[in-house]
Amino acid sequence: MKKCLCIIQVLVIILGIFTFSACGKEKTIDAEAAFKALLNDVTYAKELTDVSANAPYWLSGMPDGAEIKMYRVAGGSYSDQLIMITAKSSNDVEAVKASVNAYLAGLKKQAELYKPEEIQKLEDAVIFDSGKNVFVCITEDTDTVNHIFEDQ
Amino acid sequence: MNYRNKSKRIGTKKYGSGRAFLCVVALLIAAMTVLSSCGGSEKAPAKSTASDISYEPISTDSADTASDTAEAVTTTPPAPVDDPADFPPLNSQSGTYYSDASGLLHIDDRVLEVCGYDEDTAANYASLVSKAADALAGSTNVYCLLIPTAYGIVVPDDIKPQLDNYYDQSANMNDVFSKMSANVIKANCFNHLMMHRDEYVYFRTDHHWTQLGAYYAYETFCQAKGVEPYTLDQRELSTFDGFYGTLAQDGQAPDTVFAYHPHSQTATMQFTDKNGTTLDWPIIMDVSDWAASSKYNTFAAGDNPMTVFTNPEVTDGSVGIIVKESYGNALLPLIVDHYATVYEIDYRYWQGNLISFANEVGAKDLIFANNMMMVSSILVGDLSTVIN
Repeated sequence: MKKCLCIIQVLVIILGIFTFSACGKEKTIDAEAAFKALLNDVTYAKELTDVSANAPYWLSGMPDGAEIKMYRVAGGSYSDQLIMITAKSSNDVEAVKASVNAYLAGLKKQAELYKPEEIQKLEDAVIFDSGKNVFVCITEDTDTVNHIFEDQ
Repeated sequence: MNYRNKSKRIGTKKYGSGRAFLCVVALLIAAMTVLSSCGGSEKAPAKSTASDISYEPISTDSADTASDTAEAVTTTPPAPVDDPADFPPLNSQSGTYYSDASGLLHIDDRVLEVCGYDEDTAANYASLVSKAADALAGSTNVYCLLIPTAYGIVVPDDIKPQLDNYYDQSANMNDVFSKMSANVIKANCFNHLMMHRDEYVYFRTDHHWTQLGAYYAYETFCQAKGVEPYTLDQRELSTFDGFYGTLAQDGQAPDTVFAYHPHSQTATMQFTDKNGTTLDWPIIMDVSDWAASSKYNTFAAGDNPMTVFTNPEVTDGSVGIIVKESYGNALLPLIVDHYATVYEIDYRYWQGNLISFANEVGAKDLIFANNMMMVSSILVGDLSTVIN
């Protein structure tokens, strides 16, 4: 009897180990796959142009080592854009998001003065983080954006 | 005592302690696994909303590099004649101010925006202007005409001490200029505007300067260029009442737009809009019947990617390029008097390579006319796309 009880205890503990370990680990998305889907499957006002090389001029305050992919509609008439920032460390994610929020505030300021028709799009901007990656997606097609993140 | 029983009891004790040990080990493993999973877990994919968080700028080495390597290839502009000791005093009527929920300052009958300063973003701006100047050295003179905002010029003297952390725009402008290559001709109009700060140099209901303010900056530019400016008396004047600009508040008295035409009465312009349509347009448009909020658009058709001015009264074939946002619109009717052709580029909408373009058109002068709000903003990113 005591032997059975102990075996049961061990089994319960082993079951608990598996259960807790399954709950404790959060799911991270495939960032590159998500970015590709966001670039190709989301509808933007116009074609996006790769401006990654210029990203530091827009996104000041990024922590060292952050890698930025940035695509925007050229010509300044539309606010549509897609950004993926990969922080060097997960500890930098909050600093990345702070820089992103400052950038969005700047976009809204310009829209208030010169492109009021774009303000709602900016208000609805999707900011999404997973692991060391922070995504920013500005488009009217936020439904597709959200589905992409949900399906990852 | 039966020996076998004794042995069995010994055996039993050994088995009992072994099971207990196994249970304890299993418990410890479980505890360690749970604790490590909770502490190091990746965040679940989450959708967050934008919020206001302050940020620190990144820095770039390019400004320093440009300053270190560029050689002065142009003459030094004459020393400024405006002495800060001669600045007219400016005091408020009410002796006080208030700041609204948007952060706008309300002082007497004027509303204005606080103009902060981000040194790293400004350094990025300086590096871009320097890049253009260094690339065009020897072929095109590159000017930087930084434009102070109302915050820098017309905040009353008795209000400044009341403001938390008033940004000294003169110091900020000097800082930006200090980060620029020696190939950039720095046209600093701050003191000259301050000499006229008690005149109608900024709108009260709008974030722009008036064309009178632009005129004083134009005088500074002419000084840097070494040419005589055409006076206001030498220009036709159109007046448009009832202007309520971007900062207009209920109950506020409207502004008046005083629009000075080019001295060259045969100068013409043609602009290409954001849809690619090209139109002939008057340099000063009669906006008498336009919406109250639109009257600043009297100047050079407002904001378009590319506008070309042609002045048949200048026969030397000279070409100027001015790179601007909306403050520059009020400058154009004044600048066009000094070139046979002027290309006005709004970098926010134009897609091209400024350096290549300057070479293609044989530009004698390239003028960056950018306001102090811009040099600390995301618009520096927009400017970066046209300087490659």
